This record gives sequence, structure tokens and C-alpha cells, in this order.
Amino acid sequence: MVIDEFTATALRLSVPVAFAAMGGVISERAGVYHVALEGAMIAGCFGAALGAFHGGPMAGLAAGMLAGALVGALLALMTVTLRLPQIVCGISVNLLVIGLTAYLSRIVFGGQANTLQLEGLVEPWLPALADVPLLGPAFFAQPPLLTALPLIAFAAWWWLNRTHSGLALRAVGEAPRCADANGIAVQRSRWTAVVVASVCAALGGCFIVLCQVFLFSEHMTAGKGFIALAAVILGRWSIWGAVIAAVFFGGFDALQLKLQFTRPDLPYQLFVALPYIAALLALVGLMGRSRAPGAVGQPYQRSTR
Amino acid sequence: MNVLPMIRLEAKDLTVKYGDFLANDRVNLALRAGEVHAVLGENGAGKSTLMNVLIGLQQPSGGHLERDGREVRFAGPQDATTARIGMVHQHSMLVEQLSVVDNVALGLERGLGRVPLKRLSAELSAIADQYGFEVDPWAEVSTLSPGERQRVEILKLLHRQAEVLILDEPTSVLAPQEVRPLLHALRRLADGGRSVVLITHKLAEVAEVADCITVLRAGRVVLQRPMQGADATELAHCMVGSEAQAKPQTEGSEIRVPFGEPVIAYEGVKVAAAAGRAPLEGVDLTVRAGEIVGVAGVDGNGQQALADCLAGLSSVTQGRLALHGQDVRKLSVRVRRQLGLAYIPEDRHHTGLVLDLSVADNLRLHDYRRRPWASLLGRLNRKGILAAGREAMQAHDIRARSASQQARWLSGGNQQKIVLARELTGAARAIVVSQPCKGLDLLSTRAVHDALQAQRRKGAGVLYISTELEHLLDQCDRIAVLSRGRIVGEVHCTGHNRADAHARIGELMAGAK
Amino acid sequence: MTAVRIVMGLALALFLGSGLILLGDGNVLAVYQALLVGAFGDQHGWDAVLIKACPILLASLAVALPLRLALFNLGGEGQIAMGGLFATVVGLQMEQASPVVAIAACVIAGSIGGALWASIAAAMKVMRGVNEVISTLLLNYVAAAVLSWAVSGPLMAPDAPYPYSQELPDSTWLPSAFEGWGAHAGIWLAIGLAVTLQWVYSQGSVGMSARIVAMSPQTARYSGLSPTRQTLGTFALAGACAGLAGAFEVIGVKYQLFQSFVGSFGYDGVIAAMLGAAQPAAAAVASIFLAGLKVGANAMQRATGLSVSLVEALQGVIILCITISAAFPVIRLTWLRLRQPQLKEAV
Repeated sequence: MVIDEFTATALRLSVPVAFAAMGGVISERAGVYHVALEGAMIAGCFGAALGAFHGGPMAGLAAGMLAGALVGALLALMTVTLRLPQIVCGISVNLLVIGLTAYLSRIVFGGQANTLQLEGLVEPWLPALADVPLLGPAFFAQPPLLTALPLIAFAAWWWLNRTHSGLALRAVGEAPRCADANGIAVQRSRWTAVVVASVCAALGGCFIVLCQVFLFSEHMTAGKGFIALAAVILGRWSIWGAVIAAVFFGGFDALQLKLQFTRPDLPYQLFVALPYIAALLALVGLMGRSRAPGAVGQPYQRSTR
Repeated sequence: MNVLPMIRLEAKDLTVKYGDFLANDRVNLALRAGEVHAVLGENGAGKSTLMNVLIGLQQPSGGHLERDGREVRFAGPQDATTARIGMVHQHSMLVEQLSVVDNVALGLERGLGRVPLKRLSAELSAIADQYGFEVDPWAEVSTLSPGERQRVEILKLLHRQAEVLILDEPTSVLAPQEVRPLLHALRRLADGGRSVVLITHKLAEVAEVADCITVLRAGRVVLQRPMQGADATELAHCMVGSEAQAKPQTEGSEIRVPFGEPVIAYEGVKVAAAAGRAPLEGVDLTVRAGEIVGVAGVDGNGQQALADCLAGLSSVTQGRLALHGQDVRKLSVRVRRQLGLAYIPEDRHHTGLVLDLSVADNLRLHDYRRRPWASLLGRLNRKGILAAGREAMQAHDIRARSASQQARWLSGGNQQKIVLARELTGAARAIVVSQPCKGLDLLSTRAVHDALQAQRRKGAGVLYISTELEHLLDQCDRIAVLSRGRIVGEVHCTGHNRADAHARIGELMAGAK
Repeated sequence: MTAVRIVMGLALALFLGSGLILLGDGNVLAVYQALLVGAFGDQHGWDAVLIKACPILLASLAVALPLRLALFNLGGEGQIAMGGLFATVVGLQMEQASPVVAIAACVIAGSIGGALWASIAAAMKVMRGVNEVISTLLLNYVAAAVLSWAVSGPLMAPDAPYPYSQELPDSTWLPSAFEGWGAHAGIWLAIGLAVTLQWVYSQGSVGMSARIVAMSPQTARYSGLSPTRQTLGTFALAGACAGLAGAFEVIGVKYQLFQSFVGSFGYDGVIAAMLGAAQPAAAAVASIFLAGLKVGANAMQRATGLSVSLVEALQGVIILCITISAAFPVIRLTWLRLRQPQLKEAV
């Protein structure tokens, strides 16, 4: 049962990163670095809090996704339409959204921001399955967004690898000139990818607010959006790979919490740093062997000369 | 035959303008069913622009297109595909990381529907059988040879039921023994009722397979006639016009300087394979002072590695590499240059120049850190650099708006002139050139060859790597053939045995002993 | 040209910022005035500005230098932390030393600390191609953990109610920038560094080398430049600047090491570097401007009641508008083209 509890915690801690990492994969496979996953996530947090505050958890979910889409639209406008350098744009959008949400939350929630008790999305989906051995407590006795994660990941995988628009998206990320010559609308494909990616990241934010902490506070995403970027690379730019990498980080996070209690003799900071060190080592270990999508980072312009 | 076959696609008074520059000037072209129509012209004559209009990648500024007699406008390549017009580009338009089936499926439909991979692969195999092609639908395109990739592109067009097929310089990536089969395949396709357009600058291929010809020069049609009865010399003259005759350059090669010491020596050189670059498996080759040695071979047999290891851009894993007898394997690029090395790289955009720097800065790429271009403290002498740039532009006929214009905006020929001006200084003794005339028109090619001959007369040794056999036969004293990372034979060129040399080199490239 | 579009970007930012202020039921003029006066209105304001500007300026150099190589050093936070840590460790040994020696030792130690930390990410980049955006960010978290451990463990002052280090001996304390001011002399070194680097990069062959490596690494190799050396060297220099910021914070401001001493300086440095388009001198000006915003924020909150997070939002708006301003020429061209279709063949 201890294993179950550990697994349950690990899975819970992985969800935000997993959602954001899925988004990162979609965006990078289309050729756009999405450094603003953090911003999209926190926009999702804010939207979810705002929606839940005024209209309950489902409204929060919808508002969170909308907020993510808006962030995605801004990033797409800058990187795809205006063809500005992608990383610079991502950093700018991040700073904007983080600052904006900090300010707006003061206005919306006033002084009660930190003591808010929002109505969340906590009731497990399919509670009947909660008693299934092994998977039950860890997986089905969890908030619905967690249980829905594999379904959403499957949908994303199916889209990317089995549909026409996903094929087009992959071609756009590897060789946009070839995709263009085949009649694919490169800019539209990239816009779609960036917006969908941002909505995914925002879902991660929704999870944090609606299923974990039930309030909004500044900088509450604490770098998860950036860990997601590492997960994208470790997952070799595949949907399932990124999700597994996210679970890997979640596992380390859970381990860190556990070790703080079981080994009080060791400084707790060691455990706090553990997930990050693990990520760095993994990046060093795996980097040489995988390839990013061919045209990632390069804005596309149909040149006629 | 009284009735001409039906016109499938026609361009009427087609004009394409870029600002003041006329890429196509009132071009008329009629493509008929069952015909192979060759479009000839030098680089820069406007062939690619014309084709881009025909397949919807480019909008004309004037004139229009007619498909089966009706006027059409192509807003994009999708419209052309719908009109059953397809093109096999000179540079493969296949996405390398995807499989053959994926590539065929690309652009077929839009939306969230499932891609019917199995069905497509069956359809593909059926078409391939019909035309005698062989293809593995599930293979990743990156594993296919250039010839195979070409076949995939043709299959894709056939799958889309193209009635007009345009091929842009298709034989430029093929080994000599693959050319015939391709031309025959094109003939078969035409006989099946399609209209095939062959863009090329190689007259020999045209004679083999074309039904009619159009010659473009400087954007205009200068000749349009059936193939039957056409004269090769007349065609050649038409392509290049009266100012520059297309006779092979023999003036330089008449002057024989006795060959001197070896300046470049490869002894059993092995270089490891790298991304997109074939390895060297043991190369033995010597270039002496006053000699131009050519290296012939189909692209992808180790040419890049051959040039890179001498220039110091990649390391030698086995064997000895020497400049003037001195082993340079451990020496830096800077030291090799002091020993007289000069390198005209194949990729002038990414290895020869920094496109976003000015002409003047590009000329100073190797010495801007030394005096007088930088002071003791490291401060750049901008005035001096600009002045030197202006002088060089005069001396080498580099056409640009000014010495401070970015190299990016110059034509290919002028960009190459910058590289030549910088590399071929008085101190150059061991010169490596790789595909120096790629994409250049005749006059620029002339300029490059003149520069090389001048260096040779001065006593430098030149290693000339190229896939253009004609150039090598014109310029070199000796041609080595590079195949699968090894030199498989050498042929001497005396100017009198040209046809024999040509044949022998073809044999060596094909793998004969 | 660049100056024009940056001014236009700032104007747009001011406009959007006004919208934000109105959203919070604030008085636009009152807010901007409070910000301006609070920061630059009197010596007290300037004093506070100089204190804050120093670390931001150095952090901006840490971002600007690699940016010229098209590399992103987002690890300012960690590098500052390491700089402060190293400076504290050395400084605590300087009880008996003369001020000159003590200060020099701390400064050097801080620079080395930051340089080492930055070099980890640089090494990962050149040896394994690890994306430096991610590695520098991850290293920030590790550095924060190391700092936290050091301050609550070995360096902790005896009887401290919460983690901070022992106080450094006064031989290490930096003198004031001006007689009687609170700001420390480190600001002079920072400004001097910015000016020197600006000169070196725009007039010197070093700048040309950086441009070549950034624009065309293959050509750079053939020219005898080594993108590897450039990356390692630039990151080390960048880390040293950030480390210097950390050292100055310790020996110039607090004289003790606090767990949260880095604050937001790292990211402020990113903003300043981007505002200054990777030019050291412009980044320095931007740093003073940002410091002014922060100092003014408190005054603004007192005067108008709007929370200081407005300034964070304003910062975000400013950086976004400046980034978008790079596209103004394209936007103008597209707009012209839309209105006159016959111009389509242009460029």
C-alpha cells in the first residue's frame, strides 16, 4: 500500500508537467520552440481560478483552456506570423503572462487570494474502478483530470501520427518547404500546433488549481513549464515519451518528499534538488542519441527566388 | 501526321517580374499529350521560374495559363495538383524522415481523417509494377539513393494521376548508368499519353528522348522547334548567345608548365562518416605544383570528406595527409593556410561566406584579427577594411551596390567571386575547389576557370572536385574517379582523347575495373 | 532605425500599461508620476535606484554576451547565487586582511563562482548539444538548493532565528558610491564593465568574431574560429559578471548571505538585456530604468494604493512590446501591401 501511495503521489505530481510536455511535443514537431509553456500553464491556473470563483469547476476548466488558447494565439502571432525569433518570443510571453496574472489576481481576488477555497474537480471519475488492484488507488481514485490524461494523450498521439492534419504538421516541422510544395498551409498548421500546445499546458495549470491547491498564487507553477521542455527532449519528441518522462520527474518529486521524512539526517535541500539534477543528467546522457525535428526554430517564409 | 496532339497545358505571353528584373519575358509554351518537351537554357535563363508558375508556386505578372484550352489561375501548388500537373524538383521535395507512403499521402487530404496507409501502399506498389519501378513503400526516404527518391517522386505524381509531368534537371543527381533508364521511363510515360517536360542544360539527353525543344535565354524564348532535324551546335549557340561562345576552354591548357613538387598528398586517408556525409575509405591521391587534378564521381561518394579533411574541417582517422610534404593532420586551419592552402567550398552560403556580413568583411574573414586590419588592442580598422573591399571589387569585377552591402544580396556568381578573391591570393599554393560552378551561369563559370588556370600557371596545385564531367575534361590534366570513398582509377586528359576519357571515367564511376 | 522602433515599442507599452492601470481603478497620471518621482525625484530615490541597478546591470551583461552568439543564458539567478556564496565563504576568512585585499578576494571569488556555474551549462552544450535554455534554468534550481543548504547549515550565524550567514568582517565592506550615499561603489565597476564590453564588442575584433560564429558557424570554423571556444569563453565571462553581482550584493548591501538574496535580479537581467538588444551599454541604461521601476513601485503603492505587482505586469508589457517592435517594419510593409495589391512582387 505504501507503493500505491507513492505511485499515486508520483502520478499526481506528474500531471502538470505531462500536459505541458504534450504541448511541447506538438509545438516542436511543427517546428516551433514553445518556451512559453510556463506562461500558458499559469494562464491556465489563473483562468481556472477565475472561472471556478465565478462559476464553479467546469467553468474554471473552460476558462483555463481559453486562457491557454489566448496565450498560444499571442505566441503564434509573434513566432509564426511575424516570424520573430522563437525563444525571445517565448521568454517575452512568459514574462508578460506571469506579471499580468500576478497583477490581475490582486484585482480579482483582492486580499483573499491566499486563503481562497475554490470548488475543485476532485471527485474521481469512474469511482467503481477505484478498487482494482494495482491500478485502482494510484490511478482511478484520483481527480478526473489525471484519469483523463492518458485518453487525452492518446487523442494527441492519434492526431499527430494517424491523421492527415497530423502528418501535415510533422512534415511542416521537418521540411516546411517540401510541405508547402505539397500544398500544405504551413502557417496555419503551425498556428494550430502552438495554440493546441498552449491549451495542453493550460490544462496542466487547471489541474494544479482545480485538483491540487484550490487557489491561485503568483508564480505557482514554479518552473514546471520548463521541466516540461526537458521532458520533451527526454521523450524524444514523442507524445508518450514526453508523458513517461514527465512521470519520471514526478516520481523524483514524490521520492524527494518521502525522503525528507524518512531521512531527516540528510539535508532536505539535497532532495529538493534531486529532480533537477536527475533531469540534467538525463539530458546529458540522452542528448546525443536523439534528433529534434529538422526545421524547429526556423521561421518559414515562402521564398520565390 | 496532320493533326497535332492535343495541348494539355499552355503558357501564353507569360511574364514574371521581380521589381525591375524580368525573370520571364512573354514566354509562350505549348505542352502536348504524348510528347516529351525539352526546355533548355543556362543557369539563370528563367527555366525554374517558368516551371514554378506552371505548378502554382509563383504568380505571373503578365500573361496566363490555359489547361485543356481553358484559362486557369493557380493560387497555389494545390490547384496545380488538382489540375493534374506535377513536378519533380531538382532538389528532392520528399520529407526525409517520413516513409515513402507518408510522403505520397502528404497533401492528399486535409482534416482529421485517418491516413489510409495500407491502401496507399498497395496502390503505390501497383503503379510501380506497371512502370517497372521497384519501391519499398515503408522505407524511410532518408535511406533511399537519389535515383530511388526520384522514382518515388514520379510515382507520387502518377498516383495523383498527373497528366503533365515536369522534371527539373533530373539527371543531375544520377550516376551515368542511371540516366538511360530514366530517359526511357520518361519516353514510356509520354507514350502512355502524358505530357512530359524535361528541363535540362545537357544537350545529349535532349537528343535521346525529346520530341520538341524550347530554348530560353535571359527570360525569353529564343528557339522553339521539333527535335527532328535540330542541330546540336545551333542549339548550343542559342543557349549561350553571341557574346560568349560555348567552345571548350583550351587556351589555358595549351601552356604546359613542367609539374613540380607534390603540393597535396593523400596517403591511405580514411575519414569517418558524419551526418549527411559519406566516409573516405582509404584515398591515395597526389597533386603537384602547376597541375590541376580533377576528382569525378556521383555526389555522395566522399567528395565532401575529401575536401573537409584537407581544409581542416574534419579529422583523418587513418593515413597521412600532407601539404608540401609536411603532415598536416594535427595542424590547425590557420597553419594550413600559412602553408598555402586555399579552399573554395561547395556550400558558399554556409562555409565560404557569412551572408549577413558585408562584402568587405567577407574579404577579410581570415585576417581581420591581424594588423593592419586590427590594432594592437584589437580595434577594427573599418576604414581600411572598406577601402580594401572597394579595391577588390574593382580588381575582381565583383558586382554589388557597395563594399558594405551584405553578401546575401549578391548573385551566385558574384558571391563566388568574393570567395575567389579572398582565397586565391598570391600566397595560395595548394588549392582545393569543390563544385565551384554550381548554380553559376556561363560567364561566371568562365571567371572561375580563368582564375584557376591563372593560379596553375603561377605554379599552384589545384584539386578540382566536381560532378560536372564536362568542366573537368576541359580544365584538368588528370582526373581521378572517387567511388565509395576510394579512388578507383585515374585518367589522363591530353585534349585529344576527350571522348575516350569520358567513356573511361563513366566506366570507372559505374564500378568497372 | 532601431532606436525609432524601440521608442515606438515603449510608447505602445505605455499605452497598454495605462489600460492596466485603469483596470485596477487607478489614475494613470498619478501612477506614472509616482513611479517617476519615487525613483528619480530625489537623492533618496537615486540612491535606492543605484543599489538595485548594480546587480541588474551585471545580470544583464550575463545575458547579453551569450545572446550575441545566439545563446540564451537564463541561469543568472543561479550564477548570482553562486557568486554570493563564494564571496561569503572567502570573505569570512578575511578578518585580518586589509580592505584592498579583502575586497579584491571577495570580488574574484564571486566572479569565479558565477563563471564555474555558468560553465556547467556551457560544457553540456558543447559536449552533448544540450539546449542551454533548459540547462541554465534547471541549474538555477540546483543553485538555490545549494545556497539554502549552505546558509542554513555550515555558514549559518549562531543564534540566528532564520537562516542567514554570519556577518562579514568590515574589511570586506565596499565603500560608498558617493560620499554619504547608501549605494556602494560596485556600481562604478559595473558601469565601467558595461562601457568596456560595449567598446570591445562593437569596435573590436572580438565582436566580429562573435558575429561570425553566431551567423555562420561553419564559415567560422574555416576561418580558424572555434564555436566551442567562443561558447565556453563567453559563458564563463557571463557567469563571472553574474557572480560579481552576487558578490556585490553581499559585500556592498547586506554584509551577510541571505537565502533569498538573489530575488528577481536574474530575470530582471534577462529583461534588461532584451530591452538593450544585447548591447552592453543599452542594457546598462535599461537596467537603471528597470531599477527605477522597482524603486518607484513602492512609492507608487504608498501613493496610489495599487499593488506592486502592477510593476511586474508593466515590465511584462514593456518587454513584449519591445519584442514585437522588431517586427514593425514587416507589419508596416504588409499593411501597405494589403492596401495596394499591385505591390505584391516587392521583396
